[in-house]
Amino acid sequence: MSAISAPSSSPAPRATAAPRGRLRGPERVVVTQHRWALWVMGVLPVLAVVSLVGAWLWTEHVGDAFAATGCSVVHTTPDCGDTVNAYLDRRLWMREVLHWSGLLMTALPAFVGVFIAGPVIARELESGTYKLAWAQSVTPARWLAAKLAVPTVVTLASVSVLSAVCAWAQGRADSAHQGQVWHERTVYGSMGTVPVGYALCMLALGALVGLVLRRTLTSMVVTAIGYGALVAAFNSVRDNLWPSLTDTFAQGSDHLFPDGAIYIETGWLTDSGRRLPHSACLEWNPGFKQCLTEKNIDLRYIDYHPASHFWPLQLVETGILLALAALAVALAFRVLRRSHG
Amino acid sequence: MTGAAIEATGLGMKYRGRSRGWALRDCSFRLPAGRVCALVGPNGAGKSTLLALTAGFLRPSEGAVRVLGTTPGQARARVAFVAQDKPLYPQLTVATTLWAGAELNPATWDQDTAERIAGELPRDAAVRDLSGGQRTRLALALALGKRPELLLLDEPMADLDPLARHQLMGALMAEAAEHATTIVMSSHLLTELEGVCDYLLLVDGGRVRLGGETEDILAAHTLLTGPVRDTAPHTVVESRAAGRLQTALVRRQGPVDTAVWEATEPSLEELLLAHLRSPEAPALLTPSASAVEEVAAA
Repeated sequence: MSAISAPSSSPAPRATAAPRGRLRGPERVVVTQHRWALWVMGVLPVLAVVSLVGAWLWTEHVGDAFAATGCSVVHTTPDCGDTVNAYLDRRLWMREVLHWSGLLMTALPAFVGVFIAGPVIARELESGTYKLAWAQSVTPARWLAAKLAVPTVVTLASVSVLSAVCAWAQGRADSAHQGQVWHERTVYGSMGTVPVGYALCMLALGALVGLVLRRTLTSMVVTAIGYGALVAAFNSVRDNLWPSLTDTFAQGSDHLFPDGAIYIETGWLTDSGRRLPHSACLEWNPGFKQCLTEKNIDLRYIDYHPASHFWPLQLVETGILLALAALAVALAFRVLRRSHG
Repeated sequence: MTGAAIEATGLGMKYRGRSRGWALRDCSFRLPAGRVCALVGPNGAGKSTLLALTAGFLRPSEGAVRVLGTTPGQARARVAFVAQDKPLYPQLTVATTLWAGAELNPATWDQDTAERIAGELPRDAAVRDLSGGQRTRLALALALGKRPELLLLDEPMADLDPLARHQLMGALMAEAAEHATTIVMSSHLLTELEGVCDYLLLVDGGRVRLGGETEDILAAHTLLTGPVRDTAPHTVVESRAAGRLQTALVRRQGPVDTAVWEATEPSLEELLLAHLRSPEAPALLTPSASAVEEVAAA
């Protein structure tokens, strides 16, 4: 109770420390300023939980009802036609729901970044309202810290819940054998730690862009383009983020590709262990056998990530994203300090 | 050396990415605490830059400014600044804006003062719906609610009608007198400030050209009228001849030969206009306005 100041009838300044355990001044003002956007970010996970759980309950209800009819998808009979159709439609619909929710999840970091870059940072600099905060007892660095802290907390909470909900829905789909494979962009990018990594990275990059460009619309566009570039860059390097596994097998023998693995590359291995591209000798060429012996090709290899690499890949990617975020935040504070002291 | 509200030494500011050159150059002056200072000069003279540097919004390109005996950053909690565009959050209401003032100035905020200056502003009106004059009133309420030791106002009264201007200026002066607040008010309209300011800083072309007590500066100058002839030993600020008669504004160096010249004290407006029309006239800083050189005392 140390925060309570003695009541005073004199017009002396009411010097009160912020009560412990509650938001402090600049953060409270940021919350008030952006309460609508923060409210949306808070409501989003609730909506996602309700709609995804609802969709699953409905789908399973249809499945149970279908099982009770005694009809079968494989050995269907003429009078079962409509029932089977309705059941398959529902399963297809659920697949669509999962696909679209995954797609929305992968787009979410772009919205976070664009929001920070434009309305939160650049608009203040463009319209001059930053001067209101700085003219109070708030340093520019403190102002930026509050501007970053509030969205970070809300984003972290919101995206974590959303990611968990997506993982749950995907897990249910997997157990019903109607899920998508783990390495598909809408699956991989919508669950685990990667969505959180992207959201925080975009938050930091958005802040940096807004601080440097100081124009609302330009900052928003540049941040959106930046997200596209970031995603494209990670898509092209992701396979190398964790050492892949290699299987070798004799040409002509059947190779059993592990269940759920993602194929990366295949080619030939010479007897000295050198790798040759698959195109070095093509099976459908007439001189195929001769080609193999000429080039001393012994075995065929295949590089792949098994399903168990989901978490290592996720964690490495998230780690890089968080490092990028930290770098962007450090740069943002530097930019601020250099021009504004 | 006690009681300097602002002390600038060799202060200069050059904006990056602008080809205009120096917005402020080689500024050295001192403003004693407790004064109400008029910061005058034409548009683009560097007034806003000087205020922004003092408020710690910009980092100077060269030189330094000390505010209330420390750096602008350290003095932030003791300085209030109302920028020319009266920045306010448009989506907040009047009441929320005052609440934000209390949140952002936890150590010094005085709600009563803020409420008094805000006057009859509708508390639940959004800032974006306020008129220019109402916005000025709210911005001043925010600044005075902070209970600053130094109040920097950039073109504060431009949006106000004469009645509101008179009323707010009165409230401002009452606060200043009660708490011995130092006030710096910039304006390109001298009439807005004459009569309330006891100190003067004339900034022109990025330099301080006049600085000191208004009375002392006025007293240092004389308007001479007489025949066309050399005004030596006095320093001429501006001299105009009409026929065989000459009018010259001079800085006196010794007694005026009243046998030759008719000597009168110029009005403040005459004095400022003469300086603005004569950019080559030497600068004048009274002793209290002269920055103390950093002499090695030891």
